[in-house]
Amino acid sequence: MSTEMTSVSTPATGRVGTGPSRVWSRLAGGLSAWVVEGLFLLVVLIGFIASPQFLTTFNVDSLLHQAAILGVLAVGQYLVIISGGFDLSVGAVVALTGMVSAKSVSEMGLVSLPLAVAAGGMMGLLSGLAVTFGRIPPFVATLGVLGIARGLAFTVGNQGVIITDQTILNINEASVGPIPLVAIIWLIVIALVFAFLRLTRTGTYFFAIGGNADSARLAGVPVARIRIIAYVLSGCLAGLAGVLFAARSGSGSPGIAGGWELDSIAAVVIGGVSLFGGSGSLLRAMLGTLIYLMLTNIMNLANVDAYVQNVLKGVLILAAVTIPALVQRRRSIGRTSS
Amino acid sequence: MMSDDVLVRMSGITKNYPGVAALRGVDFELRAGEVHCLVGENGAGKSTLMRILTGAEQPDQGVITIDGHESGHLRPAEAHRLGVSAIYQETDLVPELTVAQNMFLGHEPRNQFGVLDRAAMRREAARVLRELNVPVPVEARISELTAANAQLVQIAKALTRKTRVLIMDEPGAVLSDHELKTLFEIVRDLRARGLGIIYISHRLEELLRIGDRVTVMRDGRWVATSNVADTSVPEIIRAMVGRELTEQYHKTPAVRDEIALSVQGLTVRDHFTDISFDVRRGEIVGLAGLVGAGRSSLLACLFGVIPATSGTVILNGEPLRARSSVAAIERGIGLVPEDRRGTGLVLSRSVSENLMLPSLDRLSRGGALRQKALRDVAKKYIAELRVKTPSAAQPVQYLSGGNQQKVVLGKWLARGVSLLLLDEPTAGVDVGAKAEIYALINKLAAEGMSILMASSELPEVLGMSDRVLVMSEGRLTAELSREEATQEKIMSFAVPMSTRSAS
Amino acid sequence: MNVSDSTRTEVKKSEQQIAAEEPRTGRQLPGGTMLWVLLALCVLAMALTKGVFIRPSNLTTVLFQSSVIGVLAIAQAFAVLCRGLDLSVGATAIFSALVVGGASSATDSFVPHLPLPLAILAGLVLGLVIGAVNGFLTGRTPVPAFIITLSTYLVIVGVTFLVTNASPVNNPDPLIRKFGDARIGGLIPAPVLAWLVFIGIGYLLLNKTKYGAMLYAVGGNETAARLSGVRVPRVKLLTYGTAGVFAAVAGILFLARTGTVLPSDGGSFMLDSIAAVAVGGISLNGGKGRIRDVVLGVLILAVASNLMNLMGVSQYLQAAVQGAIILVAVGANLRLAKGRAE
Repeated sequence: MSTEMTSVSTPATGRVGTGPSRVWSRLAGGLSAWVVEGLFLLVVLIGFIASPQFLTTFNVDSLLHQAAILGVLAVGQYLVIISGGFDLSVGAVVALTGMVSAKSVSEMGLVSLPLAVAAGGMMGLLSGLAVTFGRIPPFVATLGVLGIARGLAFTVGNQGVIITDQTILNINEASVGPIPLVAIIWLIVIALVFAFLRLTRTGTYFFAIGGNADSARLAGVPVARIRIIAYVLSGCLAGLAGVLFAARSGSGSPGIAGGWELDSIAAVVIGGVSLFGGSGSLLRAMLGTLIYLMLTNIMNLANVDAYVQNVLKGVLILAAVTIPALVQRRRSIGRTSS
Repeated sequence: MMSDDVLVRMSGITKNYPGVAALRGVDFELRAGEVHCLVGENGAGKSTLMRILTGAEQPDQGVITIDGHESGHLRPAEAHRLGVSAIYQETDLVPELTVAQNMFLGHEPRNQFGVLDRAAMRREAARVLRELNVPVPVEARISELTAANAQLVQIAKALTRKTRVLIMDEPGAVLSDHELKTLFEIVRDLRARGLGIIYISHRLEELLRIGDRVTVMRDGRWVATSNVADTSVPEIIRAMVGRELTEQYHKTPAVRDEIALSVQGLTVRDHFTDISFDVRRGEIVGLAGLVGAGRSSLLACLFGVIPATSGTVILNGEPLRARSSVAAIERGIGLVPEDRRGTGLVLSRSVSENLMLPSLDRLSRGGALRQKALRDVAKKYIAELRVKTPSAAQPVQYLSGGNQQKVVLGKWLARGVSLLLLDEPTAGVDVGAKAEIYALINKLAAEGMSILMASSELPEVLGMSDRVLVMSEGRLTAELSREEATQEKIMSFAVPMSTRSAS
Repeated sequence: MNVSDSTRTEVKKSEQQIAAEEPRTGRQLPGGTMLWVLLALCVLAMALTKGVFIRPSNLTTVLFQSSVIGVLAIAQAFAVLCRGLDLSVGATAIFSALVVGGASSATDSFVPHLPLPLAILAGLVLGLVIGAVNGFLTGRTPVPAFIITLSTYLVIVGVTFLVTNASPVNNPDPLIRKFGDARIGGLIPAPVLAWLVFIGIGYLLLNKTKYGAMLYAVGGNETAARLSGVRVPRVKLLTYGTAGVFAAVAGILFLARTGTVLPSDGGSFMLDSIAAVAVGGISLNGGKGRIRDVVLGVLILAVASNLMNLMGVSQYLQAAVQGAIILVAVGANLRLAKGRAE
């Protein structure tokens, strides 16, 4: 957007305008409101038609296990993105915290869980400080933290660590009625973050600084502090996801979760969250997570080669970020000259 | 209605930017229960004065007293606490938050558990809006509102805090006549509640309708303060423009008969409507008007940056359909944009690189730069334009405003253009460099270049132009010959009439 | 980063610009700060290793090991100077290496056999095509470059594993190996010479061509460049295309040095290249920086890594240190630039 010719004085008619640009924006706004839900149903339908196994208990159960992990990660990514940043370190943090919990669980038992979350939080704090006080662009700062987290993961142990402690493995296996425990953890995280965003001042500020950091600052919002909180929360949630993944795979492994940062960004963007911050609903972002995983799942069921899947995923992500950005630009042409 | 307790007193406010004195010993006073209008040409110092009052900037000298509290260095938080709120033309709201959330941004009500009290927030917001008679749902997002309603929400937002001083910067600019009436009712209501209101607008008639007193500023100085009842539009205009014409323009008319640029019925929706005029070879046409009149958009449209909605442009006998600046440049047009640092120059690069940028094609062979030609051209234009720089390799960000502007002009000289579009060519340029730039523009015209110059400085327009076009609210309101044009005349055509704004 | 931010920061911008107008203070070291950092690091290394560091064999090893990253960092620098970032350079390098190795190999592989020059050409064209895709998307969409290149990175890795079936390429044309092992004048490894050649090419492209001048302009101020008649999308296409070709060259050098390439190789390439560019002091805001900065960045990191190796620091901890170096270097460079402007 730095491409706008700022010298052109634009009468602030962007929102009073009645021309086609307004119609288009109404249309796009209205569409995006339902497009996520529609897409979700469409993908369910496709899965149902494409494979008889899709809606079996077993498959849904395994989907929920995956969704819980990526979902927790995506909640963190969502918080950072709506406040106007990016977190590229989440995958490496999952690896690090998975290692931390796998290594420590045999001696510390369940204490290893908060320990892993705290380790993730530390990484997030580092990103937050680098972005705010270091004034480093978010993608570079979190890329640096990615390196640090990955390096530390290998330093904790350059081989995978098998988990024998049953308590942590139980997290993955336990279920409440038909619903796996991990899915319940995910739901609790969603509920807490949802409440946080709606019921606290700080929560409101996430949107404010992502939407218009300057007016937020003028209104007395502590912008730097909110940014740091966003990254710390993202780190903590990546830590939780790390534990969940360790429980699921029965081991900690320093090399895992490469590319998960992109998965989490894709999930959030498919859920209709603006890459430029300030807008997007948490619940839709979670639907986005499910859509993303179901597509993978359907490809699995249809026996699509794993490597082909990666390629398709990359294309899907590219489409998911490019199309909304193009629509947004289309919409803004009416008020700015580009 | 007007009481005599002084709410704000600013005395001897001076503010310097490198090379420019923005404010020179300005005195200003606001009483409780008055609407005090602040007028002046662009760059007269109104905005800087208001930025100092809100604490966004600190004065170099001078004292600000708000409600008996005296300060030389007002900070934003302090100004806030003392009840100063400002509403800008461009809304200061967060588009994706709701009306209620925006109104309470930064001071949200919380219940005894520290949880956001959304019900109280909605209730309070609804109450304030109701009091103001603003029919906006508190749960609507700002992005869903019309500009007028967003403006009203801004006022409501100011009222959710303990506001004593309300600064309104061009609040009427985006409003229709009907909406303006609503706004005025609200303003009168606030005045009755004892608030002091500073109202900045270019629409003088608007000021007469709403204001109690009016202060005129010019060139960073206080000029006059008078009761609105005792003054008139022509009187205000005289005070605004009363600048002496200096002898820095050595105009030698060089207009030829040949028409270089012919514009017919040019329209860009939301920017300007039905503009028609000609520019001859060797002619300097001045483009006068206030901020938002559409001058910059017109230049941007001719330069291919904004697509035209309708109308035709003929350049040197052939139709011009520039859909990009690249195409416009290929047809021999150059633009010196208003925002020199933001869009005119690549600040981090050298004088020489900036000079060459539009001419790279002819200064290279098969993609390779012709080093000697580059050096020669750089040397030539640095000497010819008298750019004060230690070397051609100096990054332009370290040059003074005047020298930077010479580099921008030099770009187009090196490229060789037949039509030069100038947007505020001497903004932020010191006096010495100004004279040099004027001389240069005259020389170019004498050589047969056609020049269209948008400027807010009336003496400059009068001194430089062979003909003056005046724009107001996106329309061409007058075309004056050099002989006809006077500052008062131009200003009277440039000032928008509230009655016209209904269209 | 943020759209609405950028539209609302005029006021702040003007303040910064006013600050930027102040004359330059003479606080710069001759040759730039980073040259002195490199020298200090070398002295430190000599002291800490009791002279092992300065042995010719060790020094050539340092250079030999930095040749691949050296070329890759130039690729990255092109993107960064244009105010972007190319996260796909590492994957492109490995893919190209596999194609060149596979095509020139006498044994069966995933690509048909080609004579060596054609095999190399195929690798370079591959890099060009990938770069062109990045450049096209960066120039034509408002999506940030790092997202675009992160996505193409994923696609390239996917395609790489898909076509190679995750199996390595072991025996490329013997000439390639020979090149990798060759020592010019008995001392300087041939890949180091190749690195020097590409430093030269990079230098010429950036400083002596029309396109280099446009690249700097677009990186420095895209709007001003466009208003001066620069075709911005085309410049971006060329920039990322060049980055792709340089990445492919880096891949071929990697193949020559190791003789074996796995699809999973090069995991650290992306971060290494960014670290080198950042440490060298090239502004991540684009438009400012020279090839010599990249070379210095590569050498500083190589000496630091060599020092850590000689002192027995684990590989993995080194990766963490590198992440930290990026943060410190970028932060410090931003501060330095700011200090200089004020």
